[in-house]
Amino acid sequence: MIVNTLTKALTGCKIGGSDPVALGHSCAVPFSFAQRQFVCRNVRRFQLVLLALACGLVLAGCAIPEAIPAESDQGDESATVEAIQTRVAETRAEQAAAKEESMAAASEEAQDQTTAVEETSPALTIGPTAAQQQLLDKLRPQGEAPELLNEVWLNSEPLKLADLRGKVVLVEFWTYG
Amino acid sequence: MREWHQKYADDGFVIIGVHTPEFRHERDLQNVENSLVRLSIPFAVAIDNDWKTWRSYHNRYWPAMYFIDKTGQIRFLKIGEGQYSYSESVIQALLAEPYTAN
Repeated sequence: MIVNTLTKALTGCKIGGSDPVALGHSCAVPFSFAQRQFVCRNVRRFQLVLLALACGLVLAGCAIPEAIPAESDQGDESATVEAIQTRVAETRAEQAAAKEESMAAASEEAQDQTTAVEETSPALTIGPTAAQQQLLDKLRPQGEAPELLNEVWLNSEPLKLADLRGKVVLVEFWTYG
Repeated sequence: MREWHQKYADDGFVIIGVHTPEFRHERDLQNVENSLVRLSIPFAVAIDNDWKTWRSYHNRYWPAMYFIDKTGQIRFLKIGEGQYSYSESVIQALLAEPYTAN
């Protein structure tokens, strides 16, 4: 893998150690001390940049786990790849577990809602449910509804509240305008 | 309202719209009739042009809904729009309440 190649490149070069000018053809030319210092510094800088790049790649590999399996098909089964694959597998397992959990929670919630709906639906023959009784206790009588005094009606014969005992009546004051 | 009428009329639920006009043109019976057709209002509507029922209820708002139980007691007053699901649960509870005629 790239990380390995980079590491090999770094260790194989034997730069930054005792003799940085042993590299390349230019090393054969004798350098002044200042030149040697300059080359050494730059080689070290290059080495640092390479290290930084290697670290960056490893981090990127962790951040984008999808990219890793594609590369591993090429046969390079380094320890890093294995570690990353393990991590990806773990992450996927965690995600699956989390998804299952959330689905289970959702279905439980749905069941609760169904129960709630069943509770609030009118149970006319068997009396109010516990929830309805609770609501009824809150709805204290506020006095007898005044009788309707109108003579002109639409959609109906004139109605009197007195004739509607035993029924639940909604009187709504409205205007079409 | 229309939905409630359709859902609960068979269970003993009666909606009465009291039409109390705010402006002069709303007193015209023909206009009210047209609006019933336009809004597909199926329930009974009392024409309260002289504000008699409005006054006896000491009502001051449009719209205002008085939920009256089987004994004729006002149990819940809803002023203005909204709170429809709560109002519906009030209807269901009042319908479920036992009633014995005196």
